[in-house]
Amino acid sequence: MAGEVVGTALIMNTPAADQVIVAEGLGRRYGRHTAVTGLDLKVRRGEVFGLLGSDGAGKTTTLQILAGILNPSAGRATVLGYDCVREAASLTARLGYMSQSFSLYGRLSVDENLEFFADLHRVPEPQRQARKTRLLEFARLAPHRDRPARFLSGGMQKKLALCCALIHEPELLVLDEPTTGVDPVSRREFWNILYQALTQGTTIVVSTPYMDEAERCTRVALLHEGRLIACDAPSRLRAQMPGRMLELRARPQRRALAVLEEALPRSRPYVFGDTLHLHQEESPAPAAPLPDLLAARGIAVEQIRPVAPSLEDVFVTRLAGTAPPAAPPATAEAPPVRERTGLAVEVEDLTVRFGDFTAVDRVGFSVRRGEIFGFLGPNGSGKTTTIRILCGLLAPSAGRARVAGYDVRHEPLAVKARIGYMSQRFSLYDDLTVGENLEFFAGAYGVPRARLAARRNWALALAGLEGEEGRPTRGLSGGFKQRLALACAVLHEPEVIFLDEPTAGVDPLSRRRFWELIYRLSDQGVTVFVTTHYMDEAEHCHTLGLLYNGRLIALGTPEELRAGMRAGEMLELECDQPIAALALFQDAPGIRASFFGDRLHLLVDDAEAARAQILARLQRAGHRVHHVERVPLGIEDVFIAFIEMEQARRAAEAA
Amino acid sequence: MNRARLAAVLRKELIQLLRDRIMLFLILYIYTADVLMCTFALSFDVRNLPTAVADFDRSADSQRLIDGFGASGYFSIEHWTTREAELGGLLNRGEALAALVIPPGFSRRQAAGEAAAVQLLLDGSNANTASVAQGYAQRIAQDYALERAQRAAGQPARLAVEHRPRIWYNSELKYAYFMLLSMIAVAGMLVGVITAAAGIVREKESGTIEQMLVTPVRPAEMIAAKMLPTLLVGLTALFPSLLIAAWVGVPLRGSLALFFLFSAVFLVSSMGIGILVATFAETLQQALLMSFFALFPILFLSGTLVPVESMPWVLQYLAELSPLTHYMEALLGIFLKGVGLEVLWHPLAIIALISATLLALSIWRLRRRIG
Repeated sequence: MAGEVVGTALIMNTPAADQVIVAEGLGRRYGRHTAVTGLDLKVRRGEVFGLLGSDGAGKTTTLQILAGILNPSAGRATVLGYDCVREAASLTARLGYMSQSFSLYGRLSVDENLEFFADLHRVPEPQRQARKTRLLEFARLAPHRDRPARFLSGGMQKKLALCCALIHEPELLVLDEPTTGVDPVSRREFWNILYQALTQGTTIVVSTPYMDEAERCTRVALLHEGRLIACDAPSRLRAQMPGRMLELRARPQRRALAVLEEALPRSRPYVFGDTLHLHQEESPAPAAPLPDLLAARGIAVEQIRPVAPSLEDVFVTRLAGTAPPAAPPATAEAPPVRERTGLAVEVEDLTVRFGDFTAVDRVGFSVRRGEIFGFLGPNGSGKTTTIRILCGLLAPSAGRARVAGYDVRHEPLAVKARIGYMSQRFSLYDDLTVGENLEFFAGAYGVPRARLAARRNWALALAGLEGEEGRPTRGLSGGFKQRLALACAVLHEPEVIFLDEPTAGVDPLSRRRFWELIYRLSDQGVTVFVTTHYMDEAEHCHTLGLLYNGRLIALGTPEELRAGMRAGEMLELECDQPIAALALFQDAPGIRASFFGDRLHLLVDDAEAARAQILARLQRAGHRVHHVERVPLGIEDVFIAFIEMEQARRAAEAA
Repeated sequence: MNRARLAAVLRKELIQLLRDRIMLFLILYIYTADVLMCTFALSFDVRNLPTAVADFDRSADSQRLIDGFGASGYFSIEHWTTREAELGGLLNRGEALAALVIPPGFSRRQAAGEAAAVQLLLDGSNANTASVAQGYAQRIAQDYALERAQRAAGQPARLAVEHRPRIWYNSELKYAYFMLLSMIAVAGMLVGVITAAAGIVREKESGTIEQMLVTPVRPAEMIAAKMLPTLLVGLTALFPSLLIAAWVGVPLRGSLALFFLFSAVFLVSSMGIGILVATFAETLQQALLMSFFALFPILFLSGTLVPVESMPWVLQYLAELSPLTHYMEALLGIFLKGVGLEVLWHPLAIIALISATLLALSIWRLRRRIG
C-alpha cells in the first residue's frame, strides 16, 4: 500500500463539552507568601469572563497559571483541553496572552509589530494580510501603520498589543488588566475590539480593577487575598445580594452620615454625590424607622427610595463579610473648620511647553475653599503637569496660578507650606515604620513640636493604624498604605491637598473608605484637588474639569455637565442572541450600539422615537426581545461626548 | 537652612542607612576585605620569582652570590644547569622567569680587583615584574659586593652596578604600602559615589523625592541630610582599614587627624559626583552604569595605578580635575613622608573646591527640576 496513508494516530484533546477552562484547587505560593489558594474556576466557550480584585488579590498569578507560563504549586487546570503544566507548549500556541506590562517593540512600526507576532504564530500569508487589515481598521490604527509603536499614545499602544494577541485568532484570549490607566475613549474602543473577537468565536478572560468593565462581562469572579469570594453573572450577583440598597437625601448630609454610621454601622452608609447610599439587610424592610431615627436628631429627610445595587455594592457587601468593618476613624481632635469663603486655587491662561510640545494649553479655572475638585482626562492630557505646577514643582511657561492665595511662580515656598500632595504611588518610605514616616513628614513640613503628638494621634486614627506605629510600612496592604500616605500629606493641616490618582489599584472597600476621608477633610474646609480614572469617583466631586490634549474642554458640576451636553439617551436591550443583534445595528444611522455584558447598549438621540424603530428591526430579523428600557447616561458617556466634540472641532480646524 | 527641618530629614536618612544592612556590610567589605585582597593581589611586588642558575665559575664567591639571591625572598632558585641553551628553554616555557648566569673567572677577576659582571636574564613579558626584579637583583649584587669588600679588607670592591637609585620614603621599595593606600582612596571613592547616587535614585524610583520636594524642604537641606550619614559611616569604616594598614606595616609618619580631615573632604567630593550622577539618572541601573562611566577614568587617571607623572601631559591635566589624584597625593604625604598641612594645603584646597563645585551643580540641577 505504498504511497497511501493508511491511518494516523490522532490524540484528540476534546474539552468536556464547551468548557474552555477547568481549574480545580489551584494554588500558588511564593516562599511563605500565598498568592492564590484553593481556586476552582470553570469558563465556558464564548464567555467574557472577568477577574476582579485589588492589587495583590491574586489576579495576575491566576492568569499566568491559566496561560501556562507559571506552574501552580497546588491543584490542576485544564485549558482548551491541555494540561497547564504538562502540555504548556501546546497550550501557549493556541491562546493569546497580554501581560500588564505589554510586550510591544517600541522601535518597530505598527505594521512590523503585527508581522512579528504573525511570524511567531506562523500565520499563513493570505490570511495574514486580511486579518491585519481588518484588525487595524477596527482598532482605528490603519492610518498609523508605519509609525513606531513607541510614538503611539498609551491607549493606542494597548489597542495594538491587543491586535498582536489576536493576529493568530486564538481560541482563548487572556488579558491582564489591559485597560488600567487608559482613558475612557480608548477603553471603549478596546472593548469594541474584544467584542469583535468574541463574535469570531474567541473566549475572553480579562482582569480589571474597573467596576464598569466588570459589568460588561458575562460572568465575573471576585478574588480577595488569593481566594475566590464570588463568581457569577453580574446581574445574578446583584439579585443575590441580601437586603437592598437605599438612597437617602437628607439635610444636613454630613450629620445624617454620622448618625447612620453610629446607629447602623452594618449598613455601611456612604456618600454618593448629593445623596447617601446604605445597605439594608432584612428584605423587604420598612423604610419607616429610618426617617424617624434621623428626625429625632434634627435631620430633615427629603427623599428615601430603594435603588439597584451597583456591582461595587455587591462586592463591598461580600468583602465586608470577610473582614469586620473597620470602625470609622475616631476624630481624637476635631480640627477647626476653616474659612470657606474665597478661592483656594486660581488658574489663568496657564501654559506649559516642553520644547515644541504644549503640555498644558491656556487652561483657566478656579476652586472654592472646601470644594472637592475632580480633574479628569486621558493619560498625557496634562493633568499631572498641571498639578506639578500648582504644587510649585514646575514653573509655568505662561499664565498665572495662585494656590492658597500665593503665586506658585514667585512664592513657591509659601505655597508648599500650605499644601499637601499625594501621588498615585503612595510615596512612603518603605524601610521606615509607620511612626517614623509620620515623624519625617511632620518635621519636613515643620509641624511645631507642641502640636506634634496631637497631630500624630490624629493621623494614626485617620489611617486606622492606632497602636501600629512600630509596624514597618513595607508590610502594609494597599488600603493602609493609601490612608497612611494621605495622613502624611495632611499632617501639617494644609489648606489645599492635591491627590494624583489616589485610588489606583485599591480594592472597592478601601476606595470607599478613602472617599469618606476625603469628604471629612472637605467638611473641615480643606480644599481637595483630585484626579482619577474611575468614573464613579467623578460623581463624588463637587466640580469636574475635563482636560484633553492640554485643553480644558469641560468644567462644571456633574449635573451641569450632564445637562449641558446633549450626549443622547441610552437604551438597554436584553435579547436572546445579543451577538447577532449587534450586527443588526452595526451600520444603523443614528444608533451607536455596543455590548454591555450579556446585553446591548444603544446610544440614540431620542429614546422614545428610537424604541419602536429598534423593536421593529429586531422583530423583522426574528429576535426575541426580553426587554428594552432607558437607562441613565453615565458620566463616562458624557465625557466621551465632550471628547468626540473636541476631536471634531480639531479636525475641522485642521481641514 | 532650617534646623528643625534639616534634623527631620537627617534623622530619616540615618535610620534608612543604619537599617540597610546590605549597604553597611558592603561599605565595611570595601574598606576591609577589598583593601586587603587588592593590596596583595595587585601589589606589583615580586616574591619567589622562579629562577634558574647557570654557575660556570663554581667558586665560593659564586655560591655566596647565589645564596644572596636565594635568601632575599624575591628569587626562588628552582633550576640548576650548566648549559646556556637550557636556560633559553626554561625561560621560554615559563618554568623560570629569571636566570642568573655567572661566567667563569667570576671569582678570579674579583680577587684581581677587576670588575666582575654576572648576567641576569629576565622574562620581560610582564615589564613591571621584570623591572622590579631587576631592581632587587641590583641591590643583592651591591650587598654582595659590599660584604665581599669588607671580607677582603683593604681591597676596594668594584661594583657591578652602574647607578645607585636612592629611594626615599619607601626605602623598602614596598609596593604593598602604595597599593594599600591607593585602595583606601579607591574605597572612599566607590563608597561615596555609589551610596550617594543610590540614595537619591532610590527616592526617584519610589516617587518619594517628589513627595519631599513638595514639602518646604530645600534642595540644599536634602543634599546635606543625604551626605552626613554616609560621611559618618565612611569615616568610621576607615578604622578597620587603618588596622589593616598597621598590620601590613605601613608607617604613619604624619598626623592621624589630618588624614581624617582629608578623608572627610574627599568623601564629600565623591558623594558630590554620585549626587550629580543621580540628578541625571532615573533608575538605579542607570545610576550605576553612569557611576562606572565616571569611576573608571577617575581611577585610571588618579595615580592609584600608575604615577600621574608618567602619563601624557593631556591626561596629566585631566588628572588634576580628579579629587582622587589629590587625595592620593595627601595619603602618600601623610603616611610615608610625614608631611603636614604646610605642604598639603594645596591638595586640600583643590579637593574642597571640586566638592563645592559639584554640590553647587547638583543643587542647581535639583532646583531646576523644581522650577
